Amino acid sequence: MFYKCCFCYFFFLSSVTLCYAQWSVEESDFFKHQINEVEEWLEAKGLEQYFLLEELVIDSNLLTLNLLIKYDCQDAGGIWKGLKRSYLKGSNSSLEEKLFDTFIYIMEVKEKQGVINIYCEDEEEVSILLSHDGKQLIVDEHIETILGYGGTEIPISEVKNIYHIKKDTLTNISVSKVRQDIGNFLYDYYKTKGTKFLWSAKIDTSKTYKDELIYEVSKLSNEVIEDGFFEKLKLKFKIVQKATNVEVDFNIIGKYGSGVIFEPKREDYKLMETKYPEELQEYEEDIRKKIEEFIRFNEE
Amino acid sequence: MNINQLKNTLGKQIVVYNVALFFLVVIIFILKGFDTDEFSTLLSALGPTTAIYTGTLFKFIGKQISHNAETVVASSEPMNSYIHKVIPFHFILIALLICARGVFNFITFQQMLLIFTFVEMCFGGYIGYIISALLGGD
Repeated sequence: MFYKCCFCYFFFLSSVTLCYAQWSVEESDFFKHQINEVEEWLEAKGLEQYFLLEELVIDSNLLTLNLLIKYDCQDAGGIWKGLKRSYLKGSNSSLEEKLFDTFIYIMEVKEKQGVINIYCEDEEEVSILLSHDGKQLIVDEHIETILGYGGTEIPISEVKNIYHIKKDTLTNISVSKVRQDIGNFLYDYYKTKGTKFLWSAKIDTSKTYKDELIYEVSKLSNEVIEDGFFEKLKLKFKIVQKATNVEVDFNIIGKYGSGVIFEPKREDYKLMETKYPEELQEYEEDIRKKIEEFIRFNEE
Repeated sequence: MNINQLKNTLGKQIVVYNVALFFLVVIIFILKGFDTDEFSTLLSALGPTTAIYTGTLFKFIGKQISHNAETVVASSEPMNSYIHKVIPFHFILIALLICARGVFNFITFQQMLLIFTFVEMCFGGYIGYIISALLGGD
């Protein structure tokens, strides 16, 4: 009886600890180290002229990135709307989605654990909160007035080489078939890959859900970049049935790091999109064509 | 071993180890053990050490040419062997640290720089003193 009570007590204690789990010191240090990566990404994409990275708040099990819009509150709402419009012109996804996905990927946390807070000096005037409920992105946008840049367009060239989510539409095919084909293709494609010495590619599909395929492939080399660094990629596919068509949204995001024999520590991995945006875009286009070809070939 | 022989041996050691260290860094860089940013940071971190060693060495060579000094003073053996060991040890420690990050990735680049700074603070000053006293002083 005594042992049972002890067991129940410890089980209760451990579950409470899990519920209120805080980041470890190592994780907190990693997040602080990664702020530079976020800043470099904003700078490389030309977004640093609109946003100032004020701080990263590390709460218990939640990371909040505070971005201040570098304009008067009267203009801030218009700037935000203008940026969104200009981003949408070249993409099927939203700027909110791009900012959030990049932040989560750089910090290497789950979607539920990240929040982006965009605001101007007076938060009551402009405040945009981006969070995730585990299924989809939640955008809580509050803009009091849209003056200034509201009517004018921000040229798309201002938003430099931001990597867009691509969309493909396949006709007369079922979702399950597309899902299966993409999965098979990716597995066959990456299982033969690896690094220049010793390692074979490591494929992680544990984050794959019903309509979302997520492949995380690490220990790659000369895959996207020809410089011979270690590479790791996250390939995300969202497959949706729309009438008789199947729509596939997908994007690839990656990191690279230096090392001769062993893989770098996660602190030493850098975002590909910051330094190699063209290479990543070309690679994505190449994979997209290969997958399409694979699905068509299997159909016949 | 007299002072002049010791000076010559040390001079050779400094040249050999500095060149070896430089080549080690370059080879690891070529093998993608460091990216361009890391390579330039590492070279700028190695700069002061190289400056201490080579600066004093060149000063010594300059003096040798102008004075052609032939001071023959007996030096105590324990002192000789101590200096002989400290300089290689210093260089080997730096080389191991560079390999630990560049080749094996046992530590992060930041950690490597941190330990490197610590090693430099521990060794750099003393080595500077010894080298300067032996090769730089009159």
